[in-house]
Amino acid sequence: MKQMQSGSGHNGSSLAGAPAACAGAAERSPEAEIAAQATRLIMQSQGPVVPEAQVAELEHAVLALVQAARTLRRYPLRNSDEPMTVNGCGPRERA
Amino acid sequence: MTAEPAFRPVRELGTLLRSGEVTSVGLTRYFLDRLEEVGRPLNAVAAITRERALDEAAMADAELARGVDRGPLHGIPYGLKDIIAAPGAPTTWGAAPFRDQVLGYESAVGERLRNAGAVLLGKLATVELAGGMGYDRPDASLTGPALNPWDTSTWTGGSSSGPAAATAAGAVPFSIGSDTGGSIVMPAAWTGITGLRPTYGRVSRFGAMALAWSFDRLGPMCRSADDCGLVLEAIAGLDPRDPSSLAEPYRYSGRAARRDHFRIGVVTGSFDGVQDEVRANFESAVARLAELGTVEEVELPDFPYAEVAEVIMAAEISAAFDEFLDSGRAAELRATKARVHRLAAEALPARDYIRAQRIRRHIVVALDELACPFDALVAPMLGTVATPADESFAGLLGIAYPQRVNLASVTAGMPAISVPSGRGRSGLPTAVQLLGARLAENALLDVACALEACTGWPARHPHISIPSAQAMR
Repeated sequence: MKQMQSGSGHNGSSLAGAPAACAGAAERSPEAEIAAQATRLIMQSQGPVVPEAQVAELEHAVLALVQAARTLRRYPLRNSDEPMTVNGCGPRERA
Repeated sequence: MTAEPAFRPVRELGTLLRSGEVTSVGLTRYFLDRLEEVGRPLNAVAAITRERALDEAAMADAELARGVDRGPLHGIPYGLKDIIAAPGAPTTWGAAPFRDQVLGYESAVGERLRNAGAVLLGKLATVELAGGMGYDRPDASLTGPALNPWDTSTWTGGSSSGPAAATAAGAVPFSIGSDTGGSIVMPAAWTGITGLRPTYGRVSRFGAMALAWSFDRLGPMCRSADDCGLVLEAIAGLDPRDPSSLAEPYRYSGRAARRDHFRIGVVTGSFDGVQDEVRANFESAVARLAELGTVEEVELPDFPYAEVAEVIMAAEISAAFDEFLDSGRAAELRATKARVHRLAAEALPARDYIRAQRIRRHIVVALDELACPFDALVAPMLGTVATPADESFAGLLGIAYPQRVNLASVTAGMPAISVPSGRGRSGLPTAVQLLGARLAENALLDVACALEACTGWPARHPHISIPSAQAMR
């Protein structure tokens, strides 16, 4: 993991302009809050490879992914439901 | 050569070869010229392998002269999407950071096609990294936006943009594309060709860029379903170098296959949100299919297809490109979105990826049960005709219900084929998607061949007006 360069300008203020934050922190959905926090963490590890102008784009992508994952968490599964494997979409791996 | 071969089907080219009317060297020279004169201006060409092509063609001619016939692809030229390795040419994956990449080995499909006697003309353009980093504009490719031969102010769709443009324009007799989330069937639909995404595991991906391992597939892009069957038979089969590849043999049912008494399932609601002309052509296709068998409505099971696909793809794509993403070289990609989009996967816990794969197992079982009684399930392929080559298409592809049907078959590993259904707005092609149970490509191809016989579409081709170099930039 790369460390964020000092003085790179990627900080909380840059995230304030992100789509999820437009309505203000008080009105953020739980997913938007998670996305904002996750984006900050990604910036800490990947800061040097993310241009300032694209922080909002990154937060937008994180939010979409968080929302998709949250949707899946509402889908009921049994403890015994096994995952497909990476190469397991073939007929030999029928449930 | 006595006959203009540009838009002839593979079987006819084979007949011309065996009758001595043409030679493979003659055909190869003809298509090499077409690639230069028609393919390049359409931004469909990544690299031309002229020397190799002429060597392979000469060998094909010599073998035929000796009575050695390798089958229907013997001496037939073709093109490979540039995410597939081939010695003697760069494999750029359509992306600036890999513009100098040379992979000095043959892909599995390349080997199989060479063994079938086919002649590699060159590498065909692709959206950068097969679109896997995200893109919303047609120019997200090292070679620029691939222009649609039916109207060069529009684009082909992606990510197998070069194979679609070159095949539709008669610059190659057939091509090989790749499909992770629709990259064969979507550009096939917009360019009026027939594209087959085979069952997951049917065709070895050895030598092809990995994008999302549990989705990636290679398949034929041709000007008819019959050609797709011939090519699939040549490239299918077990390959120990690709752990997903299946041992089940594949043999194309061919011309002897049935052409009626089909059982067709029409996916309910599948024209919600589509353009009027797309709907009209879809209904016309269904009416034709009703004359060839029984048609009944079926409902797509209620699963979060888009979310399952997005979560799994995000995890797999970012894993496949983790070093690349960490290096910062994504900044060199043309699509602005692509530079940071996949970094978002760092926010995805492992349990969400596994949960998506657990739900996927239910999807696979449910869709297999849905599809098994039918020869094909049918829905429109895309909700619109091709969009302008110089405009963003953001939001256009995902809004209509057909994309939900596509994502269902993508996630379940089912085979799908895009078949032209007519012409829509501005005279541009529209298409239907036929989905089948896993390993049931022959039923799909039978239906597709029968539908094409009704529409007469394979005989239609664009009258290409090549724009000036200035206009194509």
